[in-house]
Amino acid sequence: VIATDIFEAERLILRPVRPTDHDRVQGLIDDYDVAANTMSIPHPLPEGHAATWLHRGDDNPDSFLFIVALKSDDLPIGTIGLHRDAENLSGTIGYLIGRDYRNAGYATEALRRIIRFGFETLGLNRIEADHFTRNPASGRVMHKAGMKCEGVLRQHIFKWNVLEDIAVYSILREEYIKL
Amino acid sequence: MDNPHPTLETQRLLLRPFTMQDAPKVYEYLSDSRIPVRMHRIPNPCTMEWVEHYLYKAIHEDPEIGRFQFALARKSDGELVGRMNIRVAAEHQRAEIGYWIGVPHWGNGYATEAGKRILQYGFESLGVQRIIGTVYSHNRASAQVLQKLGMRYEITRRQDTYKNGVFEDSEIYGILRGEFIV
Repeated sequence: VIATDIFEAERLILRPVRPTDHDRVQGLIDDYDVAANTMSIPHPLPEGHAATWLHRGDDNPDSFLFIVALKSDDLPIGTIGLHRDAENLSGTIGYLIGRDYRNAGYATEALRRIIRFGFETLGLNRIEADHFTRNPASGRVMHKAGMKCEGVLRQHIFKWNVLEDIAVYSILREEYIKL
Repeated sequence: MDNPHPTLETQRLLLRPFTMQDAPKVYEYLSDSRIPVRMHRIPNPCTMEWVEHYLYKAIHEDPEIGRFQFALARKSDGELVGRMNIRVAAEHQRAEIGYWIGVPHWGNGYATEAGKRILQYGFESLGVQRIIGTVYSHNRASAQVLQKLGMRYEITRRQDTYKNGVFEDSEIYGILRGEFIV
């Protein structure tokens, strides 16, 4: 769907995509590390890719994508999305934070906020996220956001000619309400 | 592919394509709630209409999609004893197997016997690098079958499916090409 609401965190907001974000997001995702650690971003990045990439789920009622922006200037520092499995009341989160904004706790803050969105706004029962095991920093973010590691799926994803292990994290509603 | 719906063989079983004539027997097996409570996709209670639709889709599946359904038929008398499938996720060079055995035929090792052959088919004929199987955590017998096939426990996905009012945990078992021994 095309998001319309704004969700506030401490230093960040999760807000809908605007046409004026396209160029800036293009700059954030035109980055080898960002592309290497996500499933769907090519590298090198074709010109104008962000404009279509940001709107790939607009027609899907189970796709929710937000710009992660600093409250101070409203400019994108990353994106975060949740894909709902309505039949099983679960959701899968994917996110990225631009190179210049790493190691400041922004990913954890954005993740916590979208987890709240998933449980409180969408009424989900389970929310999951995964990461390549060669990128353990991402697992630490998931852990800090209250998610638990469920295990590692071996050689599960074929990306850039390599079969990659992925670690899966989740948080359940019953755990969220105790946080 | 010249043989779109393959037939495979083991010592006691013929793994053959389904026909619509299998519908009454499949319906008989799936009417025992012990099958649908273990299978995410099978409605509980099951209906003949569901079975016919399911078999029709299996029979007319485009093999290019990489989904293969096998009726497990006992060679000695032709009796249908269960069903096993393998579906390929080509972009990740992996496949997933699934199966059920009719309750009257439980405990005879048919799932393990058919599973060995399907894993071989997956690695050798379909060319995948990894094969997984998913079971509800309460289905210990099926988890044991996957382990007997050489699949390793990898993960418990907590409350990841909702069926008949209950959130079920699922376990995923996996085997890599290099771990498979014929």
